[in-house]
Amino acid sequence: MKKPGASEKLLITILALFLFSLPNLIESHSWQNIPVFFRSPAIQAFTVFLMAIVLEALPFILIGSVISGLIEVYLPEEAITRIFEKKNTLLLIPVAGLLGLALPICECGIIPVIRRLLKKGVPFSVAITYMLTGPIINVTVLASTSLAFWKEPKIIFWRPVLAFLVGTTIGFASKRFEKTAPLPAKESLKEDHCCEECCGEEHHHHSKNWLTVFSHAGDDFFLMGKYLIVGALVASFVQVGLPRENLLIFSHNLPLAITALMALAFLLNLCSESDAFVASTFVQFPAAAKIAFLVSGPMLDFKMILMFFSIFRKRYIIFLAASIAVLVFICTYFLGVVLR
Amino acid sequence: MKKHSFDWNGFYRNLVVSLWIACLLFLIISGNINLFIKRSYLFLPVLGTLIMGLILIARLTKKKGERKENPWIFIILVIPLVFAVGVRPGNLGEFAASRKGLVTSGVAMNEKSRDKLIRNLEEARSYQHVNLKEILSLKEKNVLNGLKLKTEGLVMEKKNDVAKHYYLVRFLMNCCAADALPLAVEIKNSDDFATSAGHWVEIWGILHSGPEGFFIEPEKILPIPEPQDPYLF
Repeated sequence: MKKPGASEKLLITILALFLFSLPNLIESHSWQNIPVFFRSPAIQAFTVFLMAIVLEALPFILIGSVISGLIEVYLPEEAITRIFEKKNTLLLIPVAGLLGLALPICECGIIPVIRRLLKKGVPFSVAITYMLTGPIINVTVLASTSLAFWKEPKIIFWRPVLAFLVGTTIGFASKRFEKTAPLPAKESLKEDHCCEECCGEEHHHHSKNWLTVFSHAGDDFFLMGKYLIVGALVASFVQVGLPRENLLIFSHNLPLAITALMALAFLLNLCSESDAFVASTFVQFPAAAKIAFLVSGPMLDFKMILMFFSIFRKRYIIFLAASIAVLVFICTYFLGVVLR
Repeated sequence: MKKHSFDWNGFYRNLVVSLWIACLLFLIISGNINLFIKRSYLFLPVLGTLIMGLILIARLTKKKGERKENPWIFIILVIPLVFAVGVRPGNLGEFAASRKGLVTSGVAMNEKSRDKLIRNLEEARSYQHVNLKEILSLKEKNVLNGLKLKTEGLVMEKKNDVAKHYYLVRFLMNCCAADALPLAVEIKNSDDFATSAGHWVEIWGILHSGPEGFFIEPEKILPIPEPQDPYLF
């Protein structure tokens, strides 16, 4: 048997510590029996934010992973080819921009689904458009935006409109990356089965049962989970380390206000279902800056950039991030000038 | 004959999934999940636990070849659990409120609930119980101006260059603690109650509308224990 290395020993120690405290946890039904290592309010708050972000996003990643598993097992590539072979992709991009209304899925859950759809042969530009607009143009997010901004109907109107404009524009622009942007299937699905390379056995590749679906879902969980947790660590650090009031100095200058709230959306990694409630409290900021926060956040935040690395090549990620930032800035700036 | 070495990779994967299942089950059964996410969203971690359980069953049932992961990836995947166990998180308090910035206006509320609240307030004769969300979501300030109220929250001290100000604070949770907003109403003429800073209190007093928003003129402040579920939804 191979001896564990240093990092493996560290992992075993951490896991053993955790297992050691489990009986206490289960017996007491509370945190009270666990020794407190850190009493600092900052670390307390950091932990609450970290757990909250992970616990809220994790189920969506898991749901996305199960959908991805279902696609892998039950959606044959030939069916995808049949659907798309005689259709003009240029016409399908605007349709994909509104697909979230029929197939709602949040930004965490959509990445494993897109990854699998690309592997199955869905045109790249169509998948990108759905990935960008789906988390904003869906019934749940529209409802939460309406509730949060009942006093500012222009935000309720412009959020989905700008999301559609930005998403479809990037969709059209992505057509030229069709061949070069996605990671090769072997690399992008490297966490999945690698029978011939690894174990040299022929097995369940083509078996169609629920175990295979959840086996694929498990692969996606390991691939996406680590990005989620790194993103959540950064977001929690920002929540604790950056007093929100410091941003107020940017609120009176339109370009700076837009940039500041876009940067905040990038760092906070909020879910698109709840970001409207947070944005509604930026009362000192112009409406255009709040729209920038609401449009750019679900398309581009820190954890999503990390997740993009599981699907796209670095060059395309740079193009995607830059074009989202520039387009959202330009659109909301002109909107801000018009709304003033 | 080919010698098979122990599958550390598969072992770690199963261990990470098992630990997450244990953690989720503990949080759900103990009710501590309410520290992090909204009560009505409980179905999400329940669904997550179920999916994780099925993933574990699938992993244990189906033998397959997997790419070897760097062990650091497994460490990243258990970091939140280590923090949760080591730090013993509690409810958000003064520190989090100061970082997020106090919210003194612009709170959203369902239209039906708002209309019902306004009707109740118009009929109110003595001290009316209202919470900070209800106060801050009412744009019809005349309904609230001069209202005799009782409400509860955490007293927070805020200093500026000129003076100390005291606020009554409660967190409004929309989905999870990360998006929770510290709603605040200033307590004016509260020097007598300054020792309450950092503690939960019930305030009886009169609500006024000023140029900077609502403020409470307290008549009586009673210390109360921190509620088990201190969030507003």
